[in-house]
Amino acid sequence: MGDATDKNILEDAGAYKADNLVSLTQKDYNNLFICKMAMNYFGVEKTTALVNNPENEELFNTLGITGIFNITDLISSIIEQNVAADDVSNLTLIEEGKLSIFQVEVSPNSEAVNKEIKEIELPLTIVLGGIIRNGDITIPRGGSKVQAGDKIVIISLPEEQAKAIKVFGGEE
Amino acid sequence: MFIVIVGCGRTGSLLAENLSRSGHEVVVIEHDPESFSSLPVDFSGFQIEGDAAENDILKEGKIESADLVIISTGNDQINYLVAQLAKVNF
Repeated sequence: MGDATDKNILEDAGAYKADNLVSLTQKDYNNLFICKMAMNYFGVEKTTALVNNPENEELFNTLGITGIFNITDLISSIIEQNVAADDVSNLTLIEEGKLSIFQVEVSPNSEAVNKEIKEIELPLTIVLGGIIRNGDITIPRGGSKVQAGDKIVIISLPEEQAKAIKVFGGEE
Repeated sequence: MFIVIVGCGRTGSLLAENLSRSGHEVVVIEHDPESFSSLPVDFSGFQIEGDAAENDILKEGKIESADLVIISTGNDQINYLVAQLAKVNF
């Protein structure tokens, strides 16, 4: 127990033999300082820091911190996912939320109902990974038809996620 | 010279006073408004109230055109972060 911005405390904690040092305090200046101390004094190769102010993400990157968790981004993506939670499920995030995989139930008033995949207007960055109908899974092709009640597994960039949900979930 | 001083405690205010008297253009950034009272009454530089660990506050202090940035808060970690911010972002 002690102040981790103190070199001796870090040393007591065995920082010199750490493979990865993770700093999760609520102050960016402490996280930065602790990570830099670990790198410069103890030669820790990988450091991970929580970034509380998104503006500091670039700075942390420039200064060589290898893992950066931007808490604002993380929380906002979790909230976004929860807001649309009604017809969306099984959401998984890949690479700190740069890619999301999720499942949408096709609503009866969706524009996609009774259309073939190739007829549905979707951004190119959205990939359909599977159609679940009555528990059976088919891998969608351009000619596969979508029916109301189908569950569609979608792989997309988080930015495009909302569009995909809109197309299959129907307008709000 | 255009000098930005972060932190207006004993060190910061003394430096601000001397540098400003010797004809330099001085901006002082300090988060606690009461600390400005340690500046002399005839201090001719600018005072900005705010957290210097925020980009916007540094911008407000025109740090991008500063010839010298002096960081003199009482906290080593903050000093380090602000120094790196000044170097990397501006």
